[in-house]
Amino acid sequence: MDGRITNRPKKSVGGEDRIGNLPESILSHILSRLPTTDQAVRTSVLSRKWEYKWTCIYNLTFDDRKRAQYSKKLRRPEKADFMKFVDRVLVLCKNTNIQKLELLFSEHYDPFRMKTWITAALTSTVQRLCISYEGDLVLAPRTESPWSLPIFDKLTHLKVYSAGMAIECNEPLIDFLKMTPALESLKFTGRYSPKAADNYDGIELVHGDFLSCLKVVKLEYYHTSPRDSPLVKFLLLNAVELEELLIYWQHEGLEVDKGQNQLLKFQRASNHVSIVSS
Amino acid sequence: MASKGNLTLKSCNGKEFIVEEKVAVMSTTIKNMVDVDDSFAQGVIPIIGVDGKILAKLIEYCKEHAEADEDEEVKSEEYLKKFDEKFVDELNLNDLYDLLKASNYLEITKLLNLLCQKVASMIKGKKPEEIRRIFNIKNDFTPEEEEEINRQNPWAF
Repeated sequence: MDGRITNRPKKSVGGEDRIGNLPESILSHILSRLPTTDQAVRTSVLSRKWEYKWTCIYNLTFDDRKRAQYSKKLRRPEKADFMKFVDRVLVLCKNTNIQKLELLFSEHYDPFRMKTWITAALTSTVQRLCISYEGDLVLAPRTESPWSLPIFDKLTHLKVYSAGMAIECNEPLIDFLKMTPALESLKFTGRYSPKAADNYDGIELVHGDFLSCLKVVKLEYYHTSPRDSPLVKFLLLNAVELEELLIYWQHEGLEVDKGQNQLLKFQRASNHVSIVSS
Repeated sequence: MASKGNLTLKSCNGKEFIVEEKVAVMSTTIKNMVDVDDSFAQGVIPIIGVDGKILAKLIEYCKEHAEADEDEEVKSEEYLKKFDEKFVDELNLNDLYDLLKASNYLEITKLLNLLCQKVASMIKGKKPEEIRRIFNIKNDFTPEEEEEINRQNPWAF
């Protein structure tokens, strides 16, 4: 409300708005370097010229965590505000070459809604994808035929953090990895469900040189032992050039050596991989 | 005429600078010109739309960041980081604007990234009113229109 007072015209000190006159390609570099997408969208209120400048951004970072740290005097934004915001950005953003997509969610969302967002934002040009979520994770659009699956052949860095209680994340993750032939680095933190692992039958050798760029994998599990991890099995079987596999897990009373021995028995495609687990 | 291994760059207001080739080819645009047409390497390369003051700045940056020759000591990352910080801190708004356009046109990617990062850091975390003040942006919305934009994006504001 008190923002209105500041609308009074100020004495002009330094001439015109030259940054706003920059070509769109340069402005897209600038606005894509802001830490979150809402900061880019906020520039729409600067002036008429700026109203839709932000729609050229190529990095998207949706972060709902600021809801928790909002100051008391301002209206705390609602979860619905955030959902509307993501919908609106995905509709208005005109850059089809999204390079980085970050979904940093502390709230739970309807899995269908999540899937719609990911499908809309995850274009084949994405190079870096970071997802932090506590609910059910639907990484890739599930389709009937495996041949109609999209291929994200620019994706080099994938980071998934899922802290939820009931996540069986390995399965969607493995399915997703079958669509990322250029992946170089994978980081995963979360739980995995041994029950889901038993029922999962997707550990086949993927065709061609898929996963042949994958060099570094870091997995952090907690409260479970990854001894029979389908994900580890899948990675070791397919990543020909894998150099480092780091596995950390926290599990009370777990015999680490036993887990390690189990891992060493998995069939490996790379002959120069170093496996470190602790 | 520049001696072997050097190139002559000429600004749009007629100032000539003789620079080492390894410095000049930090610009992908110049590199392509030299690669395609040998006569550029012998004669003068006109840098269209960039004046002497800005060209001097560009050369100052490229000299520090050019690949070290075999007998030179490689500059530490820390040294270059300090140089970059000082370089952007000393720029006024007009220089920043001109350098952004020039580094974009000449495809000096490292410098373009540095400058874009600088402008982003000037916007980051600031209220619209502060951003307007920094960049001389005149608010031409009516209070009602501004209210409407705020209303459309309750999450962003």
